[in-house]
Amino acid sequence: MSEARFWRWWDRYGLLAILTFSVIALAVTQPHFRSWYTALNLLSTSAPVAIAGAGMTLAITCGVFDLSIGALLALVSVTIGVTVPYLGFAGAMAAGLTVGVMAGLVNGLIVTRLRIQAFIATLGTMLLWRGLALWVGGGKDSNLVHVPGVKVLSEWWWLAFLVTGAYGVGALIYYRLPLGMRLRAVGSSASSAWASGVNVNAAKLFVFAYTALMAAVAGAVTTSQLAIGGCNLGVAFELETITVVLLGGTALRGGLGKLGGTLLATALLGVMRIGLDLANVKDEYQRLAIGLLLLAALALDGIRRARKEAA
Amino acid sequence: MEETNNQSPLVSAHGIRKSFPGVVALDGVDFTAQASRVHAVVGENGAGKSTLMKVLGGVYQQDAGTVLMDGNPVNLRSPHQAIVAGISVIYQELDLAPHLTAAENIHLGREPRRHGVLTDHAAMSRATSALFEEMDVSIPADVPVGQLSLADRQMVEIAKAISRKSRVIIMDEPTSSLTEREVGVLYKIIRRLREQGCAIVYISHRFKEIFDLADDVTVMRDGRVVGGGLLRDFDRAAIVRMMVGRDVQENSRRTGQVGSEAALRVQGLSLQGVFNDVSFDLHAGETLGMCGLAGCGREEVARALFGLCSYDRGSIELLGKPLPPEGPAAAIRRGLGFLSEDRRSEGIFAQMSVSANMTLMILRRLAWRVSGWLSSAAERAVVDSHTVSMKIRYAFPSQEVRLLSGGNQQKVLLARILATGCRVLILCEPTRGVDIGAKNEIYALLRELNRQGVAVLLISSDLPEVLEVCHRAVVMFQGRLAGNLAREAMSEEAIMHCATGLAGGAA
Amino acid sequence: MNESRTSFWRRLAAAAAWRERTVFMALAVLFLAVSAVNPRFAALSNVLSILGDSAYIGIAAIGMTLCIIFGAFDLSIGALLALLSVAAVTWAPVLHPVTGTAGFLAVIAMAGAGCGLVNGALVAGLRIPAFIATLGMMYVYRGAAFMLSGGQDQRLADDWFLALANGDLAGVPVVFMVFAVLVLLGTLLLNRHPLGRRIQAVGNSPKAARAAGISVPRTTLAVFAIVGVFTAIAAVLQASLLRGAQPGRGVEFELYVIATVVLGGTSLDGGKGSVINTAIAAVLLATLQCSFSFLTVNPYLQKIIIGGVLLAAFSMNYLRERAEQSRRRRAQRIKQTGKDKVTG
Repeated sequence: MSEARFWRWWDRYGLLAILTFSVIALAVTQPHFRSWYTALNLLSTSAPVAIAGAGMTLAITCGVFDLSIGALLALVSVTIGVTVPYLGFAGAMAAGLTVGVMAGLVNGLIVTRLRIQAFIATLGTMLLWRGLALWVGGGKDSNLVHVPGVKVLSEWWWLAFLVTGAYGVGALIYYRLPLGMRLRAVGSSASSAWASGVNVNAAKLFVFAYTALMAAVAGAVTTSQLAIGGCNLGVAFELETITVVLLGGTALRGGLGKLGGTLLATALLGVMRIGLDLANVKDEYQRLAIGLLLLAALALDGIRRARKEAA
Repeated sequence: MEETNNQSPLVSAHGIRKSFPGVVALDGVDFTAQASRVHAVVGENGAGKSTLMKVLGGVYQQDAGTVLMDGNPVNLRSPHQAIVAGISVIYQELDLAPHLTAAENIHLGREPRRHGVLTDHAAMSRATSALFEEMDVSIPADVPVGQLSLADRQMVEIAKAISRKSRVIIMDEPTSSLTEREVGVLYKIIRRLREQGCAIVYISHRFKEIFDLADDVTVMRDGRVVGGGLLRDFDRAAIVRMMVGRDVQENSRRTGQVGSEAALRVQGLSLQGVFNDVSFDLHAGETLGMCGLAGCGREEVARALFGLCSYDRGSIELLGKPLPPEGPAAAIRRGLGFLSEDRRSEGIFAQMSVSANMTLMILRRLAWRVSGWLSSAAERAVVDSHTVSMKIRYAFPSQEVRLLSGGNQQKVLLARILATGCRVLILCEPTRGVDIGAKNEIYALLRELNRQGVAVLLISSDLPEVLEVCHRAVVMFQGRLAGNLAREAMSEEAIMHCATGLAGGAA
Repeated sequence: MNESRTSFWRRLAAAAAWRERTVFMALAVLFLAVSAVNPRFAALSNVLSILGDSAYIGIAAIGMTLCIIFGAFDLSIGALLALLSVAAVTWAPVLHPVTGTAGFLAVIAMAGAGCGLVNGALVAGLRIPAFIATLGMMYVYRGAAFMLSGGQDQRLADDWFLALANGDLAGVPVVFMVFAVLVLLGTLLLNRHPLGRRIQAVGNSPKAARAAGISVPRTTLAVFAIVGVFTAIAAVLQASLLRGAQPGRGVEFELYVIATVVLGGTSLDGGKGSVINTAIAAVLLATLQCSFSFLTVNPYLQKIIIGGVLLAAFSMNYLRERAEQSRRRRAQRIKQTGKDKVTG
């Protein structure tokens, strides 16, 4: 029975425990880790995935994947790059977010109106957004270094605000609004939700628009950080985002989302990266480490299930 | 149909026609249900009962005909519109969101709110607990329903219908997963709803329930209404006659020689909390019935015998040799065959061809020795011989098996198992969802198998079936063998006596 | 003799379950349309080069078809492609003198199978959903590719190596011949081999497969090993074509492969699909690519068009279903009004 209690504890605090442990271990062993710079570094490297992950958590909860957000990030960045000479930085940001939400609505309409599974529909729009980004950007990154105020979104207070906002709004939707319950219901059993009068299509449409909005915010942040409007940004970003969402404990087949888990998983990956950087581990080994971490978490889950079945 | 009482109908359907590609499921059906009455709908599988209920429930849209509520035509384009109109349907295949709690499932789509915006979780679980209390069931309101038992989920579905204040409640085989006590609870709920003025439409194959509960009856066959009226005007035989469309002659009780050696010997089989100390012998050439109410553990015993679930203690001896618990593949190799009660998810491979379905368990025998590729001639021969001997009907061997009728699917499954040449068969509900013609053919097949010396363990809820085809019956109650009835002692009363625990621990 | 041969072909045709011809029609229409605009498009040499181009994604897609029919995904094959091509290029100087070309290919294929077995072990042994397990292995293989190459692009321009992808026999590119043989093999494997039947059975219903005595874990291992082998072949051929390997290559390759499989009509739900249609889909995509250069389409527009084509293809099923429905309803109405007239 104490084993069952351990797993319950693990479900709730496992990621937090690992994160705390890695932070303490790094702080003890790496003197350079103990500085404000580390926190700032963590925030700035993790913010885009964290923000997009807040959206993707809701999407997967609702039973849909969005594979197009990496390409969408590039499209938003290019939009900002192209419009900034005319609209100024704030205006360009607004344009980028608008494009993002519209793209999300297109994703949602394709899935709900043409009845294509989200996975392959967004596989198609992934090419669409990437192609649009390349076409609009002419295949080149536009340099925004000289645009006044371009770096503002990479300041720590803005990043902190955006991450907090993304998760605050996400939590409000998930836990407090009837909409959140409906998203879970759709992901858990779409037919049951439909029979109860939930507008399944509206829920999906919302979740695609919301995920796209979050990805667009991530795109704006990346654009500001790199000071380029890049049409080649965000390759495999969707896979990285899905990785943190699943590592955070959100159910692959929908119905159960873990917003906190996504945030912790993102932070954990970020801390690991910084730690490995400080230990002078090369980038290629870091990737390996991330993969192994994910697999270890999964293996633990597998072992647990096997033990539960044996019991 | 003549007016049976002076009340006007609460819900009525006129001339409902519904066809699917290739079949006419409903062909001009008229149906009315009145307030404060329980209306039983009976008919064989495929008679159109469920289709009619799905039309009333807004899942299907009729091709022709009208549905009236209180005499006004209603257009039911989705389950939700039906609910708004006052019709709730509890389907056989329960449809709850497993990750949501009972409270959330019940209130989904009409969540109580605070300040008009936020979900009021407290009010939701309060209302749900009160509802469960009123129904006299103890189900936690705040646990995801995926973690509840099947029976509890059934009750959550019923609570959902009640909480919506539906005036017409349609129940499709509601007792199939309930225990005795819960059936009693359901009876009380139904009677209370009737007093409150609801119209209850009750679909069941169990005549006992129908005669216990119903006021009116409608009999369907082949997509048409073939009779009905006040239930007290009919007896069981009359209803069966209408369902079948002809007289069923009572088949003579099984006789015939049974071998003396045990083909399957089970001793002291136990699994903590599920079944306990189950022992019996099954002889070659014998059909042994295994009876008991839902939840008595008989399916679990059958699965444990075949290696689909584990057991703690006991031994199984198959054809004189011990059968180690190594899973289905080992059991099949040693000559055991198993037919699951869940044809759709544990039987057929819906998108595979008839021939691939039939030969799946003997692929090694059909493959060329050296290259390992399958020989189509050998495959064809196996398929053809079983098709003829079992009278399986399909268009061509590469037809997808999902396109076959239930009876033919079941025969394909039996053919797959028999192709392995097994000597001992475990069949769980082999005639569930099978039309009467195929049913009789399956019975004949069982007799033929017995003649060839194959031993059959038949797990069935259909008591007349057990009486018809079994030489002997064992009865389980709460995980234990509560009776072992010889041929002369078998009767529906005797079996039910043991199954309800009244007979003590006779073994 | 002759009779047995025709029956072999008939059996093959039946095995291919080639009832779904939409992809083939689309390919034919596209080909004829572009040829009408520019007759040089239909030249034999161009056709052969298109067929050759289709091979790289096509070969990987054969394995993925089996995997999706089985009811799983393999998201790691892009990274695996990079790892195996790096392995092929870095090991070749050591291996080739010892093993010869055939032995070298066998070793790389074995390496692919080995990596596939790791995926399979995670899915079968630890019961991790394939989607997540292969997502994790994607990072591992990518990391391994960078480690093995030291982060550097690897070059190899030995004649025997370049001949693998760049050679031709009587004008037919070797890669396409390899592709064609593998398609045939994949089709036969799927339909006329016990393993293929088991793969389909598990894809239809794992529970029923288990009850029928099929070892689901063993089938899982086999499926992922097969995906690994096909990925290995694609990796070697691509490394040969590009005269080397880059550890960063093949990002999102898995997504393009999945898109090809789905374009070929295989349902993501598993249980049913056709290797031949996957191959035709690969040829269709290669034809589309080639026609862009014949019609001088802006290179950046090409992705948009391909995305649009995929979406159109994916929505085909639903649109066809709707058209059928409305046709049926219309027929019903006509019948009804006819009746009314008779009675009225």
